[in-house]
Amino acid sequence: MSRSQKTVAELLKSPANREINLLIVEDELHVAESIARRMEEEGYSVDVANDGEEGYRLASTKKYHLIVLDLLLPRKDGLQVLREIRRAKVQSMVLILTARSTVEERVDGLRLGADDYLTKPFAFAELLARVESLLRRQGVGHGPVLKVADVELDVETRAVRRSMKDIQLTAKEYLLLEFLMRNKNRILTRREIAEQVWGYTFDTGTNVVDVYINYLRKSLDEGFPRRLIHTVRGVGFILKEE
Amino acid sequence: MFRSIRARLTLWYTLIVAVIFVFIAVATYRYVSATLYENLDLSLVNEAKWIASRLDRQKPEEANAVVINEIKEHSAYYPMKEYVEVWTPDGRLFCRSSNIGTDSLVKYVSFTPDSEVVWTTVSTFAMLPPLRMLVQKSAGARIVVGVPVESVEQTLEQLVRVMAWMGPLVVLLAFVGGLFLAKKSLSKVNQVTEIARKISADRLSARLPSHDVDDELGRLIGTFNGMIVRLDSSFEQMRQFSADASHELRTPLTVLRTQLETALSSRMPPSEIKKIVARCLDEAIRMGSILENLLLLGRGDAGQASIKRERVRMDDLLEDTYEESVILASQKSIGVKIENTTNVMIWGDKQRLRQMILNLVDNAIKYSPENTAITLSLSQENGEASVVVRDQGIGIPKSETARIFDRFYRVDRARSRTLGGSGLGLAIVKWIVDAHAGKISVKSTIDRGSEFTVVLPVAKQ
Repeated sequence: MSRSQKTVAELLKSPANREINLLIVEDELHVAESIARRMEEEGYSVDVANDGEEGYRLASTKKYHLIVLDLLLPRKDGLQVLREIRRAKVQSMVLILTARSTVEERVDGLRLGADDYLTKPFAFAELLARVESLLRRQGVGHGPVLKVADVELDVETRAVRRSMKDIQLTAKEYLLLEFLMRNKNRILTRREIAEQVWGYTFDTGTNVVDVYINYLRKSLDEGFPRRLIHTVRGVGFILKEE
Repeated sequence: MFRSIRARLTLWYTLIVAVIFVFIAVATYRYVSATLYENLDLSLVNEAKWIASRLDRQKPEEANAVVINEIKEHSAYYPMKEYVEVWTPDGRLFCRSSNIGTDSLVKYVSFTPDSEVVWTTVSTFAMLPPLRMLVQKSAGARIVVGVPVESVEQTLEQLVRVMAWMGPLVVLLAFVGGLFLAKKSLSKVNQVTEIARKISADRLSARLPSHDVDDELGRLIGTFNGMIVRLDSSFEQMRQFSADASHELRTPLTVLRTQLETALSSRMPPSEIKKIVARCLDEAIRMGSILENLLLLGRGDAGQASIKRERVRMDDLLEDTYEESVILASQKSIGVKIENTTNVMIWGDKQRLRQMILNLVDNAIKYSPENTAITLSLSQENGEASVVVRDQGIGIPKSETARIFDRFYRVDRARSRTLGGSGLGLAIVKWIVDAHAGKISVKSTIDRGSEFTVVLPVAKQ
């Protein structure tokens, strides 16, 4: 299933990503669709294959900057697809996405020429960050600067500016802002933020999120007419432009 | 020091050798001393005899002095020192060897006038060395012969000296030899210990070096290796199981996570969100059933799952499950029919047996193409009830038939995902069959279909 029809997301493509082609090889239809939709929102041009054969066919006929490859695929195993595209001298970067997480399997994948490895279940923000960093290594992608409204965040120098004014943030505030900016226009639950920014896997700790959201508001929104960080009552927080 | 078998073995060995040595030494001493004294006594008897014969054969013309002289001379030339006294029947001294001097032999010996032969050893002489003595009555005369025990005692003393010198040497040799023997026989044991120490849950692939001889140690090593192999395979099964279980749960979890993250996008229209929520509910239910099945199998492993024992009419049960199966199979236009049935009772758990048949039917539906048929049959033979579920599905490769009852095992892992299911259906079937003391087998031809046969013991009337 290749997605050629224009979506709302495509209209929002950031100019720098327009020429970047991604291939998602994933047999779980809903997961594949969600990844594709999210990637398109980021402005990538995305094709989806639902089995190994199709994945191999697409990867070897069209030039992709990056392939997100599930390992457990019908018709042709993911590792087999990887082996064959590398034998066919396909240069695309490969990010393996799988529910298997033993060290042996990781090593197998990387030895066969995968560039990165992400274990299911994953957070979109993490997938996006990995994809961006792989693309940067290739010298493509939208560069290290994230933009939301008049806020600019450079993920390499960790510099944050709003309306050309430097904003000083502590390390945690910076991580929180980066996560919010990567998930702009998306409601984030406290648990999600605690897990992704603080690495908490236990139940408590969500009040830490509230505390840091307040710190971040002071640094980021104070003195500016437009507030960017909004509380969604009973759910969590959202960073949006309007 | 006594903590090691080697030291204890050596000590025991040494102790036993020492005891044996002491026993042999005592026996030797006794034997030698007895023999020596016997020889001494024999020579005394011979001497007494000679003197008696000399007295008897005294020719009339001979004076007593001649006989006396002869006896004295004989005693002087005797190789051992010899002391002789002869008393006449009327109690006068007839002759006395010159080496006695002024002493007298007879006064140290007590005897009655009637005693024929008296043996004694006297060591209380004033002038003479300790003597072994024989007093013999011969034609009224009393012949007293004595020889010093000195030479015998000396020999025995020498013997004791040799023994006393040899004893410690033998014990020392036994100790060294024992140490060596113990070390030799225990070195393999130490090796085994060393390797066994290195074997842990992470390193169960290690094996002890085989000891080709079928002795005690060889058997110990064999037993030990067997145990490690069993441990290894059960650890491996456990590892495999937890890897599989987490994988099975991760897949629906991934769907949940990606769907929910998508749903929380502020641009998502409410109608889309409803669809996503419905999908998530499906996945949550699916995860629930995987967990339920895992728990059931876990309880079964721990022997905690309760299996009821009641009389179950299998033909009624088959009829029940048949009706359900027809509905289940209709989604793929698969026909279900009962080919053969019979009135047979078994002892068992109705719920579990129903689950068993439905799981087999569900499995048949999953791996059958549309517009095929599933056949159920029930028969009785030799006190056993057979339930057969036959399909016209894709079949199972011969190499895989042994593993299809393993938990999470699937012939084609990827295809199963689209078919749904937890990968535990047949494992549960196997568990239920085992819990009912039954047997399950499968016959299959690729692209022609599979036939699962469950054999259960019939309840006695």
